[in-house]
Amino acid sequence: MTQPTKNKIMNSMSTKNKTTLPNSHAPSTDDTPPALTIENISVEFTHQNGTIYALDDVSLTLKQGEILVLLGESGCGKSVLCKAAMGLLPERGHITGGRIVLHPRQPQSTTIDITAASEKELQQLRGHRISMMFQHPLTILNPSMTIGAQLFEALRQREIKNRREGLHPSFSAKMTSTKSPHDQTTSTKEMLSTKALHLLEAVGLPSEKNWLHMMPHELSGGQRQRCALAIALAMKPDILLADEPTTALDVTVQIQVLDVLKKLRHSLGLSLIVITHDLGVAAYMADCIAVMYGGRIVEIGTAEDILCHPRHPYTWGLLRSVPAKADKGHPLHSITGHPPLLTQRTVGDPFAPRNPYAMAIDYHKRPPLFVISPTHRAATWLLDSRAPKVTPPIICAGEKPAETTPASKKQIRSDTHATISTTDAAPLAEKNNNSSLNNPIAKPLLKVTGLSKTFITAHTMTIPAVTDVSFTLHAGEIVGLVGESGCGKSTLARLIMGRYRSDCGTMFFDGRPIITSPSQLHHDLHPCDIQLIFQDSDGALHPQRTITESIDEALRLTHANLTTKERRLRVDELLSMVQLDPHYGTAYPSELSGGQRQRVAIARALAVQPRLIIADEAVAALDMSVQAQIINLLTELQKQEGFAILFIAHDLALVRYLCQRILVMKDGRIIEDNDTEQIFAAPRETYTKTLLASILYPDPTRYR
Amino acid sequence: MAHRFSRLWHTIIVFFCAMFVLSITVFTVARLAPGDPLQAFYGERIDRMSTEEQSAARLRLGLDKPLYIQYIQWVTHGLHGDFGISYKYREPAMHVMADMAGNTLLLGIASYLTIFVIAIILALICALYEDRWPDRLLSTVGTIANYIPSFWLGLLFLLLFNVNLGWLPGSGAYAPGESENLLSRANHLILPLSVMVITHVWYYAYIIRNKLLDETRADYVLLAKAKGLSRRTILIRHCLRNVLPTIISVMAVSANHIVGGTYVVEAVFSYPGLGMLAIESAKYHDYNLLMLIVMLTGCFVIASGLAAQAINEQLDSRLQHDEGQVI
Repeated sequence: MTQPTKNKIMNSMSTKNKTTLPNSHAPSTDDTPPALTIENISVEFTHQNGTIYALDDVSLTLKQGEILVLLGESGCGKSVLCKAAMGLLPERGHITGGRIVLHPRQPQSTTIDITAASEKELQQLRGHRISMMFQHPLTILNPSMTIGAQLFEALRQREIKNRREGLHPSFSAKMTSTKSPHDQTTSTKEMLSTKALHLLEAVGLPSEKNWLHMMPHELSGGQRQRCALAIALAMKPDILLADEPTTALDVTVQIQVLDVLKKLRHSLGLSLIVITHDLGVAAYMADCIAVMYGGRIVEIGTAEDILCHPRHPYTWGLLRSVPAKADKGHPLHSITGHPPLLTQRTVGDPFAPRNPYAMAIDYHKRPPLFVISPTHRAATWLLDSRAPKVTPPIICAGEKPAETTPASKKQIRSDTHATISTTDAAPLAEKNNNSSLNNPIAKPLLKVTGLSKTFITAHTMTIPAVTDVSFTLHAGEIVGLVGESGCGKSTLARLIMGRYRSDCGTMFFDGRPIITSPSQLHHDLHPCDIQLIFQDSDGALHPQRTITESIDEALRLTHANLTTKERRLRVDELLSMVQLDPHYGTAYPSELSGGQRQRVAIARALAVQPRLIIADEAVAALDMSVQAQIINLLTELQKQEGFAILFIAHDLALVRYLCQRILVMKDGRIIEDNDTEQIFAAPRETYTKTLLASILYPDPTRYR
Repeated sequence: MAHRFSRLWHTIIVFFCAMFVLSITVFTVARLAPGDPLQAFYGERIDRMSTEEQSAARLRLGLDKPLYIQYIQWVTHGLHGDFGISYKYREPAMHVMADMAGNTLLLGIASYLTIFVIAIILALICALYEDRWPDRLLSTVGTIANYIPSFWLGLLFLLLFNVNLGWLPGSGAYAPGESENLLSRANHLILPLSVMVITHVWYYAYIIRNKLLDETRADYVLLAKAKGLSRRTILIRHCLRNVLPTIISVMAVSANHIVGGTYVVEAVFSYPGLGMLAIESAKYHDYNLLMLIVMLTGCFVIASGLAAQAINEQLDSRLQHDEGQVI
C-alpha cells in the first residue's frame, strides 16, 4: 500500500470518528456522566536490559455505575492500566503520555488528573474515591495481622476521610499517623466489628465463624480473596478496580462474589472495572468490554457487541478457545504463536504474527479503532472498506446449551456449534474421533473402596477430609473430579499417590493391593505408573535443575538399565512429545513460560510411562489459549499412550469437554458418579444442580 | 498444651547437646594448646619443683588418667562451680570472673540496646526516603563508619576526648573507689559505648533497611496503599511488624558479634571486663580462666540463639505449625 492510500484511509477514519460522539461505546445513555476517563495513556517499564512498552495509547471511559470488563491474556497490560489509574505503578513504570481523569460523583469532590497528582494527593483519593482489589489472594493480606485488624484499618480510614472533607491535608495526615487501636473506645470498636462482620457476610463469609480474629494463613485462597474484597469495599469507593476478583474461587462462590459486586453497583452506585481472562465472567458482569492485546485496546463495545458480534480476529480466537463452545472429540481452538514481548514498539498491529487473516498493511501500519456501530469499535484493518471480506468464524449461538440450568431461559440448539471449520481443525478431529472409538470395555485399573482420611490438627481438632470414598477407574478413561475447594479432592489424589496414609479403606491398582485395610500401605507395591501433575508448575519443578535433569531423574527410577546417552535421547523424545523443542532441555524452569513449564511437568509424568495420570487443576492457572493447547496435548497423548486421567478441576465446562465420566465430591464424599452427559442432562443431587447452575457461559444474552 | 511442652523439652535437649559439644571442644583444644596443664595449676612454681614432685602433682590432679576421665572430672567440678585456680590471679577462676562479668554485662547490654534502637530508627528513615538524599547520606556515612576498625576509632577517641580535650575518662569502668557511683560509671561508659555503636550500628541498620524495602514491595502493601494509607503508616504499622522476626533473629545472632566487639573495645579502653580478662589469660596461658570464659560466652551464645528461635515462633504464628506430612 502506498503512502497516499494509507493517508486516505487515515483521513476517512478521522472523519468517521468525528461523526460519532466521544465515549460512544457505552451502552448507557450518552448523558451518563463519566467516572473515570483514560486518555491516550502510555506506560513504559525501564529495566537494565531495555524498555517494556506495557501500554500504548490506551483510551477508555468508565461511566458512573457502569461495569467495564478488561479482557485479555496475561501480559496484555490489563493490570498495568488499573495500577496506573490508582497511581500505584511500580517504581520502574512511568506514564509517558496521556491523562487519567477521575471525575467527581459527589458535587463537593473535584475532578483530578491522576497522572499529574502528587503522592499526597493520591493518598487522599485512594480508598474512598478509587480503590482496587488485587490479584494473588495468597499474598495480598498482611500475614502478621488479623483479618479484623486489617478490616478495621480500612473502616477507620474511611471515617477519617469522611470527617476530613474540607480539612487541610497536612492536618489530616497527622491524624492518620497518630491513630492507634488503643485510642478507640469500646463502643466504636463494637460498631467497627459489626460493620466488619456485615462486610464479610456481604462477600459470602457467614458470621458464625470468628473471622475477625483469624490470621490470613488460616484461611483458604478463596476466603482470603473475599477478605481482600471486603477490605476494598470497606472504603465505600466510587470506583472499584477488581483485578481477577474470582480466579481462585469455586464456581459457586464465584457467582456469589460477582453478585455482591453487581448488587453494590446498584446500592452504592459503584463504578467497576473488572479484569478477567474468563469470558464467562465477562459475559455475566459486563456492560462494556474492552479487549486488550499487546498493550493496546483492540476491540471495545458492549458485552453483546464483543461476545456475539466480535470483529477483531483476536477476539474471535479468544472466543473459540472456550471449552464451553467446543465439541467433544474436536481439539480446542488455540491461537497459534506467543504473545508479543513488548520490548520493542511495534510499527504495525502487534497481533499480526498470530493473525491468520493478517494482511501486508498489518505489519506496517497500526490499525486505528474503526467505528462499527455507535457503541462498537475494533482496531483491525479487516474493517477497512478495501479489505477483503472475511466471514467471522463464530457466532454467539455456537455454544452448548445447559439443559439443566434453571437460570438459563434461552435454550439454544447445540447442532450449530459446527461453525468451527475455518482452519485445519477438522481433519485432526476426525482422526481423534476414530481412535477414541477403539476403547474396549476396559477392566478396572484403579479400584478404591471405602477410603477415609481424617486429619488431626495441632489443637487436636479432627477434620474429616475424605470419608468412605469408593470408585473405579478403567484403563484409558478420562474421569473428572469436581467439587468446591476444601472438599477433599486433593487429599484423595494424595491418598491414591501414597502421600498420606489412609485411616481405612482399600485400593487396588491393576489387581494389585496397594492399600489394604486397616491402613496398611504397601509401599513396595506402590506403582510408579500413577503420576501427578500439579496446578503450580512453578513449584513442581526444581528451580536449580535444568529441564533435562528433572525429567532424567524420573527416567532413572523406571529405566535404570538405560545408559546416560540412551536416557538423554529419551528425554529429547519426551520433550518433542509435549511439543517442546529439545533445546529447552538445558533451560531452567524460571526461563520458561507457565504453559511451557506445564508441558515439562507432563513430559516428566510421561517419562515413567504411567497408566494413570492425576491432573490436579493442571490448567487452572493458565491463559485461555494456552489452556486449550495443554488440553489438546493431554488428549492427544492420552490417545497415543492410552493412559487413564483423573482430571481434578473446578472448570465444569472444561470437564464436560474432556471427560467421559464425572465424580462429584462434596464434604469428603463422592455424591454423584455418572457419565458426563448424564450428569449434565439429569443431575440427581441438589449440590450437582447448584454446581451446574453456577457455570458461566460466554453469552451475555443469557444474563440479561 | 502438650505440643508446647514437647517444644520446651526439645529446646532444653538441644541446649544441653550444644553445651556438651562445646565443652568437649574447649577441653580438647585447651589440652592440645601449647603449655603444660601442670603449669596452668602451678605457674612459675613448676620450675622450682623436682621431677618427683611434678609427677606426684600430676597424680594428685589426675593428669595421669586418660583424657576422657580428666574431662569428666573437669565437668563434674565445673557443675559444682569449681573451674580450678586462676594461675595469674591466684584465686579461684570463678571469683576472678565474677568480679569482671558485671562490667562487661553493663557495657554489652548498653551497647546492644543502643545499637538496635538506633539501627531501627535509621532503617526507618532510610526506607521512608528510599533513594532520596536522607537515605543516600545515611548509607554513605554508615558504610564508611562500618569499615572503621573499632580499635583505631577507640584510639582516636582516646586521643581526642581524653588526652587533648580531657572531657572524658579514658580507662577503667569507674573512678577509683567509686564503683557504686552510677554517674561515674556512665561517664566511663560514654567512650567505649560510642565506639561500639558507631562501628556496629550500620551493619544492622542496613540489614533492617533492606528487609523493610523488600517488604514494601510485597503485595499486601499494595492493598494498604489502596486503602489510602501513607508510606510512613504502612512502614510502621504493616512492614515493621513483618520485619520484626528478622530483626529479632538478627539481634539474637548478633549477640556474639557484639560480645566480640566489647572484648576489643575493652582492651582499647582498659575497661576491666571479660574481654580484657580473656586476652590476659590467653597471654599468660591461664587456661583454667580462659576455659571458663569461653564456656560462659558459648553458653550465652547458644542460649540467645535458642531464645531467639522461641521468640520468633511466638511472633510469627506461621512458624508454629510445621504441618508434618503423615508419611
